[in-house]
This record gives sequence, structure tokens and C-alpha cells, in this order.
Amino acid sequence: MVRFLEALRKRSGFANELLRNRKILAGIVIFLGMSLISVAGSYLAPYNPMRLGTFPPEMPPSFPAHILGTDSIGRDLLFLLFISILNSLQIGLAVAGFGTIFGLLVGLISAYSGGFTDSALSTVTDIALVVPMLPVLILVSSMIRVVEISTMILILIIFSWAWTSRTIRAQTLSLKERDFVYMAKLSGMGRFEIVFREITPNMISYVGVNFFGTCFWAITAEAGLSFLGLGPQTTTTLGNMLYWAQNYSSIYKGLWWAWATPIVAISVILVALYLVNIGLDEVANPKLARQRL
Amino acid sequence: MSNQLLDVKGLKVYYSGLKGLVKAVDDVSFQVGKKEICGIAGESGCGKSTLASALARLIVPPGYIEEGQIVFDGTDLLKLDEEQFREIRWKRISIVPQSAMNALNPVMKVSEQIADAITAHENVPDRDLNERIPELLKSVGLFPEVARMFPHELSGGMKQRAVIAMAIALRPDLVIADESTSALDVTIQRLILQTLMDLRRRLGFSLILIAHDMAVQAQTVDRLNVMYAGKIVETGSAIDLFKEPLHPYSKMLISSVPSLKAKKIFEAIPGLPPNLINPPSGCRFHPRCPHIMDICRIEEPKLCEVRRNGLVACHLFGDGIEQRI
Amino acid sequence: MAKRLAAYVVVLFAATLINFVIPRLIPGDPIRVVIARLEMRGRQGFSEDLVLQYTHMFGLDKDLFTQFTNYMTQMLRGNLGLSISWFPSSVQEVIGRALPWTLYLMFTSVIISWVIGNVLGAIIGWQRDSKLARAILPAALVLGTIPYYMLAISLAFFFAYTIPLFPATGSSSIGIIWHGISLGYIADLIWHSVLPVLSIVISSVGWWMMSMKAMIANVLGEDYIMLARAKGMKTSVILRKYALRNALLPQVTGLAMTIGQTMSGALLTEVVFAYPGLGWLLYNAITNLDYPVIQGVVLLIIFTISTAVLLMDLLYPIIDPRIRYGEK
Repeated sequence: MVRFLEALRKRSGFANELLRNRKILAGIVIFLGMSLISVAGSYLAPYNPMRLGTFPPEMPPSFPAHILGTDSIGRDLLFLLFISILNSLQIGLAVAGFGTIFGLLVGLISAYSGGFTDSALSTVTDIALVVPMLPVLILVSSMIRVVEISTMILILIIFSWAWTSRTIRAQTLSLKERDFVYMAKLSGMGRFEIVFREITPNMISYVGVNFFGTCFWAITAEAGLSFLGLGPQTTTTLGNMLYWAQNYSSIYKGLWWAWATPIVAISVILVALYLVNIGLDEVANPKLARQRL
Repeated sequence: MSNQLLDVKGLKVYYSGLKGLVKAVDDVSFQVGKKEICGIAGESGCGKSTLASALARLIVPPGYIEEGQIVFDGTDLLKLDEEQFREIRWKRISIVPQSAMNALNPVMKVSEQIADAITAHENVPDRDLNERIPELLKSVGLFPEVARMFPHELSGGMKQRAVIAMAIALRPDLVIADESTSALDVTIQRLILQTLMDLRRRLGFSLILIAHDMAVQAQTVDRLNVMYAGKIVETGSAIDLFKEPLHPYSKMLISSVPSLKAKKIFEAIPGLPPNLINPPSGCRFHPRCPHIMDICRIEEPKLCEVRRNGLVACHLFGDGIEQRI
Repeated sequence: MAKRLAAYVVVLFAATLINFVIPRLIPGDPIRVVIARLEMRGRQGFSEDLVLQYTHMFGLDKDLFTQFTNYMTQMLRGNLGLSISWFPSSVQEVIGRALPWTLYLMFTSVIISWVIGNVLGAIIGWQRDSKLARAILPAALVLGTIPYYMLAISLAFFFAYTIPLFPATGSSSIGIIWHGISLGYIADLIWHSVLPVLSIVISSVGWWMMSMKAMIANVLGEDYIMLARAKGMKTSVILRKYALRNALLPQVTGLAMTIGQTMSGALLTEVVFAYPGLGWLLYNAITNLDYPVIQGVVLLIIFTISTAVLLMDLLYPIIDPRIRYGEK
């Protein structure tokens, strides 16, 4: 473990390079900003924002009482938004975390074991990739009686690891054949040692890209499912906010704040994640960056 | 001189890189006569390929031509605009690029690519193309069936020949061969060179042969220019240079050619290739030169005529007087 | 090749299996559960007799293996069961009515956005540093990441409500009786489809544009482009014959890879506009807990996408000469 960290630290310039990239910086700043605001906002609520009928419904934004207005069932949108962002981010990060770890493990094992294990795992991965996720997610979600945030996370994890596993496997396979791994083998390193000391540090950028990519996907998928009414029923998420907006015909009643709020929030989060992703890509493949000169 | 085809004067080609300005070609001047084979030799990174690209006006950003003249048959090529230069491209100056592996479009047939070269300049009906292209392929030693093939179906040597066929399609006056044989193994190399020489004899074009392999240079060229760190350090007739190289770098390069007859001790050239962003002061070769003198660190030697039609840039030979140590 | 077909069949089988197994994982008698829920929402008229009838109809009184075999045979015959919310219509009837709309939506949007995206991407990618790029790219970035249905909502608001240019819902105006295909009818159809198609196109264009730009930038660095320039070929010809042909290949495979994503997005977009395709059908089925329909639609979607991917896998070798003529 110590040696792993050592190997990472040897690339200490790497961390600097990551932060120097404007895209990554912008993306992370935005993301963290959103997180902080939502956490702060949620705890600052002087009442339970989820309670129906707290305020007169369908009021347009007014300062300072209801900065984002109220929705059709009498809830203040600003605080609703804070909680929604918090929940959606939670779901996104949780799914990304587990999905990436799982995908990493499957990918590494698959690539390094080869043979039957590899074929079996790859087939499973391929199936998980080809089968379009939304319909199956819809199916699974609709079957479950009560959906909570944790349920949502579990459901999404089912599909989250496939892409990561595939990329990691491909990358490991190519790295496995590279010279520095041969050197390590020649010097008598055990299999796991090789994986941790030599291969993994090279994959950090890929893992990073996969993590943020999965997070992106998870937030989008959650929004989609919730929009259809399959989201967590006990609390609010960004997708849920859209579901209510659609259900109460906010569009055609002119209640633009009801639907614009979650859309803007999601867009900001997604763009931030995407920026981090392409930024990471640029750092991992400097050739792309150089072409910009 | 009416015998002169190409006269390069003071050419400077730089790249603005992440870490600074790379002076790939720094004040290079040389001439190529009509029907002459001119070699440019030097180790990797000395600027030969950049020079080749510059002559064909293929330098793209972040590279640029800082100053200089490329006078081709009386016209300064650098003063022409792109449309005017297009007339000269391929019709009068063509290139045989470094990596024929990648120089052929993978999704087009060979015949189509040669046809493109021709139709870009002449209005030739398909019927004529169907005759010309197989002829071209035959002239480089390829079967006419190759025309219908895709690049990945050809071997390395065949690809190289195809590229040569393309290069001579319009009977240019000047062909620039940039490391055309470096990616091939020795036997094929020889055959390709042979083909190139035969073509040259038949069609009469001038050839600039860029290669780091001195054996290749020895077999083919009339004149040789030796480049180091973006500058020409010696130039002269092949016979003179190979019999008696003057510049210490040329000496080392030439001595690195293995000989079947003489028993030689291989001498590798010591030291590291020069940094083109911050080249050594004075003579760029001084860190690796066995005959270094104090002045070498300070003042950059200029090319002086030391023997007939032979120029050297070295403080050992200043002002036309040999100064032996 | 055989491996792909085998994988295809495996996927379909797995999908069917999942489709079959999941509803049966719900504890309790599914018939009673559904009836109970429907009664809660006010639908009456369910007697014990009816429960028995349904149980028998759905074959739930037999053992699991027989059930599955029945299910498979029925499915292969195209019989997907009866819909609960649109009873007595069968699932396949209901799906059959919705499918064409979704196909139309997808087909149109994908073609339009692919073509426009690639053209723009090629132009931007070819010029090293163009003003067009700087203007469009950030917009493309943002729009590309926003899911289609969110754009749909915005568009619906601006162009169906604020400025009522386009209809807010449906695929054709209410009250139009089918007189047969006429120009007016077609025009009406198109008018109704503008906003949904636009939602998908605006978002996808950005993605195609950025990937094409990356492709072209890649291709531009290749030696054969340099040689083409050296040959004195006109830039337009180089772009067309040398750059595009190489850059388009991955874009074509990209179509297959993204079709699943596109379809998912299209389904959600339909919901916004109540466009009567599979998405709207699914949405209603979910609301009404119409499990047969939900299963049927999911199965159909999986089938369609798997087939599309398989077709693409089969077609690709034909268009890429490197694979067609093999590596020698």
C-alpha cells in the first residue's frame, strides 16, 4: 500500500497538471460549488420543504420571500431545489463510486486472468452494455413498490459498472504487454504487486474519466427515471421536480420557474462533469492538447 | 548558373513549441543542379525532414518559415501564394515521403490515389488514366494488378514503390526523397534505391536524397550535404566527402559505415543530440567534438570553400587554410 | 461473425428471461395485487371469477417452467398478452399503434442531426482555429449534455406556449378524420413533429459535431493528408476524398453505439409532448401499472436495439475496405 502511494507521489507533478487544466478546474469548482450550496441550503431550511401546502401554490419568484417561487402543491422551490440537488448528487456520486470500483475490479480481474474467467466476464459485460439501460431500468423500477434513494442507487449500480469494466480491461490488456511490466515480471514481482505498483498508477486518469462519466450517466438516468414517475417517492430529486412540473402542467400554465429550475440545475451539474471529463482526457492524452497550439 | 535548379538561401524554419522556440532549420543554404543527386545526411533530429517539408511547402503550424529564399528555376517559391504554388506542386516538385506505410490513404485504391495526383493538374480522361497508371506501376517494378488493390494489401516494399510511382507520375523536375528507405529491411532497401536510380536516369529529374544511413548516401549521391543541429556543416562532392571528410562530424558519420573489407573499430559518436531550443554556443558540435578548441565555444564557424566545390563550417579550416592540429 | 450472432441470440434470450422473471419476483399473487391497486384508483367490477379467469389466462396456475415455455412460444408467435389498461386490446396491438410514431421520430432526428453535425464538425475540424468553432463549440457542449426531454420542455414552453407556433401535444390535430393520405394531413403531421424532432436534433447535433471534429483533427495529422497536399490537390477534394472518408467510418459505427441512448432520450421526449409513440405508451402503462404492456415495450426496445447493433456490426466490414479485403 505504501509503495502504491509512493508510486503515485512520484507523479506529484501530475496533480498539479490536473489542476492547471482549465477545464478540470472549472468543472470541479462548479461541481463543488453546487454541492456546498445544496448542503448548506438544505440545512438552513427553517421548515420541512417537502411538506405540502406550506405556501400558496404557483406563486412566481419574488424577492425576498420566495426567490424561486412555489410549485403547484405549495412548496418553496428554492429549498426544494437544494434538497433535490443534494439527493441527485448523492445518487450520482454513490453510483459512480461503487460502479467504478466494481468495474475496476471486474476489468482488472478479467484482463489479468485471461482464459475462461476473461471470456465469461467479458460476455456478461457485453450483455450489460448492449442491452439498452433505460427500458430495463424502467422495468425494474416499476416492479418495486416503494422506491427510496438507496433503492435508486442500487438499481443504477446494476448498469453502471459495465462501461468502466470494458475500458479498464482494454487498458490493462494493453499495459500488460508493455515493456515496463515485462521488466517487473523479470525482476520477480508477484502478480498482484505488478497490478498495484506498475499498472494501476497508469490507469488513474482512466479511472477518473470513468468515475466522472459514470456520475454523469447516473445523474442523467436518475433524472430520466424520476421524470417518468419512477423516482424516490419519499423525497425530492431533480428528476422528481421535473416530474411534478410535467404532471401539474407547469409548461402550459406558464409556471416557468417550476421546470426551468431543475433543468438549469441539472445542466450546470452535467456540464461541470463533462468539462472535468474532457479535461482529464486532455491531460491523459497530451497529444490532443498540443494540437490546440 | 543555368545548370542550377534549386538554390536555397538562408532558410530558417522554426517551431513554436510548449517549451520554447525550436530552431529546426537555422540558416541553411545549398544548391541542387539539374539532373543532380543531392544527399542530405545527419542524425535524427538534425532538421533534414523539416528541410524537406519546407522545400515542398508543407510546414504547418506550430512550424513556420522565419526567413529565407527557395529559388527554384529562377522563382522564389516562398513568395508565391498557395494557388500559384499549387501549379508547381507535383508537376515540378514531388516528394517520396518518409513513411509510405501511412502516406497512402487506407480507404482508397492505389490507382485512385495516383489518378488524383494526375487529375489535380491535368485534365485526363479515364481511358488515358487506365493506360498511364499501369505503365507507371510497371516502371517501378509493380504488377499492374496492384492498381486495383488497397494499401493494406501491399507489403512495405510494394507500398514504397507505389509512392514512388505516384511521385514521378507527372515527370517532375525535382524529387525529394525523405528517408524513403529507412523503414525497409536492407535487401528491399537496395532494390528500391535501384528503382529510384533507374527512374532518374530515364526521366532525368534531380533528386534530393535525405537519409541518415551513410551507406545509402554512399551508393547513390553526386553531392552530399551534412547537417547537424539545423545547420549544414559540410558540403561537397560525394567522392571528396567519402574519401576524405573534413568536418569532425562528417568524419564520424562516415566512419560509422560498416565495411566488409576493411577491419574497422566501430566508433559511435559520443554525447547526446543537441538541444534545438537552446543550442550550444559557438559551434553547435563543440560538446562532442574531439578536436575542440577554445574558439569553438565562442564563435560559430561559417561555411568556407576549402576545396573545389567543397564547403566546411569548422574552425579547423578557416579562411580556406587548413589548420591541422 | 458466428460469435456475433451467438451473442445476439444470447442477449435476446437473456432479455426475455429477465422480462419473464422480474414480475414473478414480486411476492404475492400478481393478479390480486394489480386488481387491488386498480380498485384503489376507482376501477370496479373485479370478481373472484375474474381473478381465476385471469390467473388461468396468464397461465399462472401452472408451474414456472411451463409458464416460461408458454411465454416463449407465445412471444415467438407475436402474442405478448393482453393489456390491462387498454383491455381488451392486446399488447401487440397497442404497441403496433405506437411504434410507427417512435420510428418516425427517431429516424428523422437521427438523420438530420447526424448529417448536420458531421458537416459542421468537418468544417470546424478542418480549419485549425476558426471563429465559427469558437462561437458554436461552447453552445454545442452545453446543449449536447442536456438530455433531450429537458430541451423539449424548454422548447415547448417557448414555442408552444409563449409564442404558440407549434402544437404542444399529439402527433396530429384533434378532430382530423382520416380521409386518406393527403398533403394537408402530411403537413399537419410534420408540424406536430417539429418540436419533438427539434429537441432531439439540437442536443444530438452538438455530440456529432464534437466527435466529427475530433475525428477530422485526428485524420488531419495523418501522412496521407500531407501527401495529398503535396500532390497539389484542391483542398475541397482532399477534404472530401481523403479526410471525410476516413473520418466518417467511426461516425457510422457511432450511430449504432448511440442508438440505445438516442432511443431512451426519444422516449422521454415523447412524454413531454404526449407524442403517441412508445415513450408515451410506456409512461401511461407505468402510471396504470399495466405490466404486460411495460414488458412488451421493454422487450421490443431491447430487440430493436440489439438488431440495429447487429446490423451495424454486419455492415461495417462492407464499408471499411481494410476489413473487407482482410489483412494480408
